[in-house]
Amino acid sequence: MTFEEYVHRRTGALLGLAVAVSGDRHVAEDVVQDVLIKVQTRWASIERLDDPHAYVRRMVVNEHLSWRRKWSRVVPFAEVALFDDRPDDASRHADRAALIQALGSLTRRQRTVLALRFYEGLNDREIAAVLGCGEGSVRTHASRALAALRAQGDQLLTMREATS
Amino acid sequence: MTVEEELEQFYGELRPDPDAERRIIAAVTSSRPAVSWWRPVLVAGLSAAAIAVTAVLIAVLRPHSPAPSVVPATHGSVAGAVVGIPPARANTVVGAVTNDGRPVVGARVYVQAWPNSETEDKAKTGQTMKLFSVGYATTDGDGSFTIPVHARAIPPRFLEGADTLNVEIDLVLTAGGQAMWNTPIELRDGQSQAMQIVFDVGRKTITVNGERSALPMG
Repeated sequence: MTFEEYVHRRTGALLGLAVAVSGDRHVAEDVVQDVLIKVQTRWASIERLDDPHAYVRRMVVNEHLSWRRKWSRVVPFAEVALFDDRPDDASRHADRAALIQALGSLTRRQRTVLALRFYEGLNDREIAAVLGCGEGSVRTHASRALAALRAQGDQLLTMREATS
Repeated sequence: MTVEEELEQFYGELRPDPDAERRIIAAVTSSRPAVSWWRPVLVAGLSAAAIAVTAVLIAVLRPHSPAPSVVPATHGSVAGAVVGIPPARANTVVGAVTNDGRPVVGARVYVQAWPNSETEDKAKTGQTMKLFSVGYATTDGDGSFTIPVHARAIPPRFLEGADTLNVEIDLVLTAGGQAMWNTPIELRDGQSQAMQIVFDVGRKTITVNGERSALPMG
């Protein structure tokens, strides 16, 4: 496969992943473009790998998690309009906004684990390989993230019951 | 609806922007540098020349009794060829660096802590994040290393939730090559949990407290 063929086939998937982990369309576009420019210069060796896309996917996640870089100021999941516009009732919209806000309160690594599990559909072993950490770490990040989301959901429910 | 079901629905509805996709494809496919036929030949020639010069310099300059960076594969029969893996104990990161099971001598292992999420979120655009150097070590003749962790000396801004230290463990080989691994270290009552790490650079694996994973090498 040539670099051009890879880019035409996989850019959409990489962009979706970048949006899922960063929560920001503009950051996602910059991340994917930067990564593909790096991939271009090393394509000869990357295309020989068993799974070139897994390697590039890992590059996208690492680019996002690379705190030293310019993305450090981005507040993730600030954009509710990340998703398709569709007819929606007020309650569902409020729930979605609350979930986005709750995701924004997690650590980047926790959000990345959730995005890889629920958006990419990867298992713990595959997530560990993408993040460069052990499966135990993945499980720890996931359980803490889910516990935090449940706690915030309970808090929201209590507030709604109190005001209704 | 459970949190898991909500997340599945949430991520399932996520759609990348087709315009952004088109912009990226146009940008990366139009910026490809033209490669002249002679460039690969020139690069290959220069690389071969550099390797030859390096080999000659090493042969001329090395001492008469050199300490090999990798001990030959004579597992268990020659002094220094047996990998020593220190037992895991609190307040230390211990382990070994091996190459297909043989000890690697002189490799550097660095343990650095990342600032917590609160500190990261306050960082300005482009700001360099300073990591906290927990410690580093060079592997001994048996490939082992021991890095003490002084939990009480770690500034609070590097602690996630008061009891977790997110560390980056970097391995640098004298012969070239490096690897990075991220792992949390739990802290309790001013003590860090026991952590034992075995890198195998030949098999490209890392074993952390008995759990083996693939190790990406750079």
